[in-house]
Amino acid sequence: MAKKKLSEKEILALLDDPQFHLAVAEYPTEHQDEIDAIDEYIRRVTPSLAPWVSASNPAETRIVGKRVKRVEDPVRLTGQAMYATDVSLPGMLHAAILRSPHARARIEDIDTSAAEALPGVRAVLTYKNVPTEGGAKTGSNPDRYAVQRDVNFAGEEVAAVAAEDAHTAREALDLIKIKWNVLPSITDMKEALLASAPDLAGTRTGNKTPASAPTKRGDFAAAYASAPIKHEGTYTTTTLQHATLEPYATVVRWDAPDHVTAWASTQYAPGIRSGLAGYFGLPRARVRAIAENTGGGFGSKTGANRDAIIAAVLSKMTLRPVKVAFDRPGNFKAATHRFADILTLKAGVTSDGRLVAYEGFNYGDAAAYRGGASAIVPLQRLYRADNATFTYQGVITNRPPSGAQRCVGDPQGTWAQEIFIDELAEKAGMDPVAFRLKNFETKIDQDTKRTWASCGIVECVEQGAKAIGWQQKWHKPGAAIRGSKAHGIGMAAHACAHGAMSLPMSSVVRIDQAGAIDINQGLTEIGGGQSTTMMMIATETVGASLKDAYPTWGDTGFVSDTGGTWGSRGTISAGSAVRNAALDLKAQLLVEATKPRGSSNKPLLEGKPEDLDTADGYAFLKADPSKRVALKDIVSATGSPMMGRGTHVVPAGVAMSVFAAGFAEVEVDLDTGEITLLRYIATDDLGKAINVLGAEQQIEGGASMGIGMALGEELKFDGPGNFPVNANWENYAMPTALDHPRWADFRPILVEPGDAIGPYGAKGLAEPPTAPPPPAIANAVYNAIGVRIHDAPITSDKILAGIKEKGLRA
Amino acid sequence: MKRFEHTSATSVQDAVRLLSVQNARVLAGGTDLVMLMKEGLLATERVVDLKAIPGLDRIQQDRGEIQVGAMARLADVAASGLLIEKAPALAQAAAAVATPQLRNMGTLGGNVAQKVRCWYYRDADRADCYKRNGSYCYAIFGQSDLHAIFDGAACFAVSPSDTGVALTALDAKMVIAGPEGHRIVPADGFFVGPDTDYLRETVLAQNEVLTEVRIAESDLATKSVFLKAAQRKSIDFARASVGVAIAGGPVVQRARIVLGGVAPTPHHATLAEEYVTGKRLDADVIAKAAALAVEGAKPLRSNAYKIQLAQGLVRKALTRLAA
Repeated sequence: MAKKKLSEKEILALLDDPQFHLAVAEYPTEHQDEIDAIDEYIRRVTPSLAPWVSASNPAETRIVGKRVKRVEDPVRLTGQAMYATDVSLPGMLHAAILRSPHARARIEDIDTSAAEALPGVRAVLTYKNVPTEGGAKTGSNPDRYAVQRDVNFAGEEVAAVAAEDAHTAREALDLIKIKWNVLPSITDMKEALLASAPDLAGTRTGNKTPASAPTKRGDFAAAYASAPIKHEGTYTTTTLQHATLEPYATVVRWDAPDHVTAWASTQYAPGIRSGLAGYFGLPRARVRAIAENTGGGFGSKTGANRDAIIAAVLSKMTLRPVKVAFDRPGNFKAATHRFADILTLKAGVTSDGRLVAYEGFNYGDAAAYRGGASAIVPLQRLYRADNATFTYQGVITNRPPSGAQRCVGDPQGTWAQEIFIDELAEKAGMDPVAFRLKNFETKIDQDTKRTWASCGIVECVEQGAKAIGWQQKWHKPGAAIRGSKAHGIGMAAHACAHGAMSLPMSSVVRIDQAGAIDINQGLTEIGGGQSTTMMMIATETVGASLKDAYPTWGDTGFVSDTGGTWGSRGTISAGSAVRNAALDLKAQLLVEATKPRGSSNKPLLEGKPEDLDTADGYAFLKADPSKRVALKDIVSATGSPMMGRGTHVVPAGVAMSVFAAGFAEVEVDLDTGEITLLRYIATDDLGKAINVLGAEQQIEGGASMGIGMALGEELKFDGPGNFPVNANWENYAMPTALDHPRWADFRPILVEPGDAIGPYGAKGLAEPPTAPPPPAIANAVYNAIGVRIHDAPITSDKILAGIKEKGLRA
Repeated sequence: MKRFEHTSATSVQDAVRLLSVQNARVLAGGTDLVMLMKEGLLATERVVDLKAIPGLDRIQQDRGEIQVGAMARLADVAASGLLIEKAPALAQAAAAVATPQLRNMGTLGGNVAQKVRCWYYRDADRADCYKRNGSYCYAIFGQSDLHAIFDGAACFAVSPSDTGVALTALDAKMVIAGPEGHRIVPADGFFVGPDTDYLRETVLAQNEVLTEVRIAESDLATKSVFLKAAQRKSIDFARASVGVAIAGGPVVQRARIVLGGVAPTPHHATLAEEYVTGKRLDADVIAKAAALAVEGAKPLRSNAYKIQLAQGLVRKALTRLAA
């Protein structure tokens, strides 16, 4: 394919486009040409550092690579942290939202007179008075208004009430009368693809989204035909909800005539700003978005969602501050979701166990608003296959909006691939660990031919196998049954592009006369430890102490738009920018330290800048560290605070790939079908841990989410009605602390090969640990009872059916 | 939540008097009632709080009976040395309810008198469900994973109480206070199925208060066990449970085998009870009894797995008692 050429103007436009930031984060490989053009542009325009300031990764560090308790935690653990839900402003109104009970319908008429007459009600928003002109849409496909007349999924917002208190607003909802025209709906992808299915979105495409070209290399058909060992299987995942502790919530204060301030629960404060500005046709300068803390995002809070839009519309209508906070069922129904998928895999293997032909066909649930829903990235990169074809097709259904959940489609792809690979290994007569090690691609992206800057997958698998005792414990399927208990172990490997996107991130690091270091960068703090990580990178690089630093984030009044906290990009993109800004600052400090000054015309330190270094808040002579001066004294000598500027510059010719593996040990009860996860070992190639404690916490959190996907999470839809039946924490089975292995048996292992792209050798980490647990657990269940589960989640009813079929119990 | 009056009863008689207002509701631990009120599923103008009534949370032994006050917290029932020794199935059932937080709030009386958890009943948008005085059951054509395989009629919601299953197996007596004084109902007759009245779960009238449960000290109560299977062991309601109590040994003289989570009330597996009576509990007898326990089950679209699950639990429970 010819490489797309972009003009400087086009590049600058992309850098300023929040939709592009999001698209790149979710599908970096689909935007490779744009990314390359931007990277090249940034390399060209970024001033280089003084040659004597080393940007290479030092062998020894003082702060980076240590275990540091996160500085942002105490305020949260004591309940003091302020979230959007906590914001209360003088004169603030509370909103309640009316949601459609139907999955597909048109409102014939709506009567709000009784609701409006209720004392305390200040505004009622419906399709009759919702803004529809200009940019008044929410940027989805198809566009939607703040509230809808035409409903495309059960739970969609159709009216909102703003009242003096939340109870009155809620009560007013019961007084709204709607005349519905209920239309046929579908939530099952296979049904949507039938020729007889109704045209759900008027696309006349058989409910398919526009096709994208398959990824091809070599000749799959020929290689498959001649392979001595063949295998085929179909694997499915279902709709999941992030269930963030803090649901969607925004408070908007609309000051006349058109100054807007939003306190939002978001992963991307600048996205709230650009989203609201776009919706109302305002210059971005008129909108300020603040996200001091966010109670979880995981990919569901990537821009101005309905909460922000509805709050803003109601605030504009009433000229009072308005709070919109989704309730728990509302969040389960109408936040974005991880999409369901169906993935059929086919492969040919040589008699000595080498993968030679590989094919994947993937249906993804693009759902009501046609989100991207491909799961093929892990197929493309983890295993070497010279002849391969991967195809993705999105399907339109009446499920709630689909989007990212700790990766866009990688957990779905890895669920299929890793069960499939286990089955292939068995067909080839090989141990699953040995089969994987034989077939990993460890050097390049086979489709772009780019070299990976590092690859730790072999170490991930070897270390995990050792930790779980693979050699001693792995046995033939069903060979370890004692009484009613069956024991098994299983593993899964994973590769993804996350953390690799190179959208430039810029930062400013300042130091004042008191030595206080202020880190200014555009990430929004969402609980992943971003603040501590940035403080560690900045102070390590400047040569200061951790206690001297203070981060700023999440307020568009102070930080610029440098993309959101998603795609495992924070440590890489922001971290690089912070490091480069800190290096710039360090260089300035050393220059100032060696400048003659004052009446005596003497420098603070004798020598050239290159003769000096910094550490623990001092600049010193490398040859004689006793000759030193405090950094704050250097700043004082110059008379005003000093500032370093930096941006994330990606080296040419390399690409980042992230790897992980998971090892599970289970016990299956043959009487009840219950699965007990006895141990889980997560190994993650994260390049280099900036904060070891923070990295372990990220891995545990990610693995926990994977355990949920494995053992119970599933948004279930009523058969005929197509509304979710378990939109609550009672029946949506997220694992509690007690559903995990005990502390000592739930272990992260860090694999640190170092990397040429991220700061101090770091790679992306937030998302990869989520993918391996489900297939690792499925493979362990197979090892225990000889039953293959291809449809996630692995629930006791499926296990019981398998036990019955195998005749393991009467 | 709509406005309501909170009153605090000082005695059982006072509670009954306060309940004379239409729609008044008893508040014990509040873990179910408050949710029902918040979700608009239960209208009330007044709640009558029982917490201040002295002595209603006692767990004691008296003249051959174990008496457990209805306000005894589930955590205390689970930890009671007396119950663990004399009526282990009840202590085990209380320990199996929800989470430590909920067991610290919830009471024994509240646990047996709670409303069903059917996800259609609990969905504010499904107002035409039978249990909400409508005329439709969504579970029949919809998602019936958690619904009844026995005794469904119009409504297929299951009795969610773990302790109710244990109390039925233990032949407990339920002491109920009302305007006319006290009445005593066997646990077996305390729960109401949809064939009698699909709007209620127990015989308790709106102006009555469950004050106590009594279990006769006996070989049967001592040799009892409760087992539960749930999606998440840490928190969930039972997908199926079983309470088993056996008198005699090695030859069974009397047996109570009661299934939970599979029917609108705790379900007596009478065929299995009769079959094991007079027999020694060897592997074959246990297997046959487990199969008989689920005979006659009529699953809906997506709950046939409960047959195998209940059978497995009976097998497990009998095996444990035989050991």
